[in-house]
Amino acid sequence: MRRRVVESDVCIVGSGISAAMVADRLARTTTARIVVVEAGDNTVPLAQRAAARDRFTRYGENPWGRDHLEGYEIEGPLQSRSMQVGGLAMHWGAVTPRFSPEDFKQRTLYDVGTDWPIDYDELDPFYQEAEEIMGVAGEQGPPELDPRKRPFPLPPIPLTYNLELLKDWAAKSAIPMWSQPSAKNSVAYRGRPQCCRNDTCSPICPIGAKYSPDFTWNALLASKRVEIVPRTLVRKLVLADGGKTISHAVASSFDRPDTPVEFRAKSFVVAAGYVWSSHLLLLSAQIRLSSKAFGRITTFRSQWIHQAHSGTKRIPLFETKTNLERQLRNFGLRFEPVGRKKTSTSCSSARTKSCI
Amino acid sequence: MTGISRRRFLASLAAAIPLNVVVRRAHAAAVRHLESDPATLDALGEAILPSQLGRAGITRAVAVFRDWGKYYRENAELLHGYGTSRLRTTGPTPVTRWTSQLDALDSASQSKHQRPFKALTVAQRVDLVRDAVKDERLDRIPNVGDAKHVAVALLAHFYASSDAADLCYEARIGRETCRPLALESRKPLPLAGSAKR
Repeated sequence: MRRRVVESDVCIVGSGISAAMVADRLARTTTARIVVVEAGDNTVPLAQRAAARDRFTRYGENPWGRDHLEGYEIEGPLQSRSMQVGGLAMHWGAVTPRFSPEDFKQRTLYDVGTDWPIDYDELDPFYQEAEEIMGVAGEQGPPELDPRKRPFPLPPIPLTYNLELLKDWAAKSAIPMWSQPSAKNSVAYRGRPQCCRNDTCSPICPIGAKYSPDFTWNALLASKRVEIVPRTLVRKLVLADGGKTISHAVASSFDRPDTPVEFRAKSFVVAAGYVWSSHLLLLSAQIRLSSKAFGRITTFRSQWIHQAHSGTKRIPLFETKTNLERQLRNFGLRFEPVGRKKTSTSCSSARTKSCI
Repeated sequence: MTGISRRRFLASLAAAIPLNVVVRRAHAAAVRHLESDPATLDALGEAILPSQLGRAGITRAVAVFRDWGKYYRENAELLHGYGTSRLRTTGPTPVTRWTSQLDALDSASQSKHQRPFKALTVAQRVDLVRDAVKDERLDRIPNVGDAKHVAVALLAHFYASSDAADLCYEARIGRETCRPLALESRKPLPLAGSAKR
């Protein structure tokens, strides 16, 4: 069978906001050849967004056009269907609060959840870096509640009249109140204009004052620092060295389904979103699990992958059946090896085409 | 016609024309009807839209509504939000229904008052509209395209607008319009003519 091989130093699976942050840093700090694989299509160009917004405000039409994959719908409220260059953050409201220091120590402080393997201070410079890429506008709150080490890159967006009233009332009650940070331009920033309150940040900013990952991709494409391969769905990461490294990714192109695409790279970054990253990792570990299960492990995996590890060189996969079983058990799930179908979780019974 | 009945001939002819072509033509015909004979819709606007808008404001609101119908697209994908995989699309054009309902208002007016709808007083028009929607469930303002009757659709269209929000608050808020950040923290200016309230 014919196949197409794409080689690079770093292959990023997914083109959403996490992928954009990783690519931006790699482009600034290395000379690595970077390839980005995106299942969805190219996004709506900025020049067409005012018209797209108009259709949205008048008719409720999706301003992002065909931003999803046909035939990959699943039941239930789990999956946001946003597949395009830029990912879900093309829709986002661009509100960017950091986690607070205590969020990293939930188990220690409150005996719930899981402590993170890193703390706020370790993450602070990475938060700052991302905020500068996006252009976050904000004001620092009281240091004990908001211990950021450096100021926001942009001054805060002014409070609305209503919130100004609320702030006065809060002050009278000795309740600290400060504006919410957001990746919207309080002043022009990096070639994008100042926000003019069109009120449709989510789903679409008509003028580009709100940060979305396409701005990073456009800049990296213009400087020839990345190659983006759209409409190509990575189906499996193939392991080597006894499961310690990834040798290549196997993908399928929607335009040339008869020709598998093989992405070969020294490093892989899995940043395909909270459903699809989990999906891909599970596919790669060759286990059988229903679509319902993806969501239940999603919170854990996406937090771990995106927040903590997406900037590192390799994403660890489930390495052994025992580890996997333990992780699944944490979420009340049962391990089911390939070839042993259970009626309750098998592909045939799940109403989805995303089943593995 | 020999060998084939007229009914069968028409049925086979209809089957040969794609449904979407028929629908598109019906939509276009209805839009033409709204544009070539705007008086009934204008008169309906005067009957149901807030009088504070004044004649010019009402004319403008009706014109924008007419445009809404003109540029409506069937089967267009609607926004799908976070956390849902459900896709929804716009339904059949409501414009064909609206034109029939406007014609029905005119017919009712002729029957009851021997005059066209546009020649009635506002109070008489309101009575006819009340009759027309008496069986509708009107406990909320629906989406424009989902409104069963043109009168409700026109009302829903107006109340979704930035002008309606301003009118409700009696202030120049300008929701969903581009406006300077520097003015954000100031109390919105009152609408012209609303100072007393």
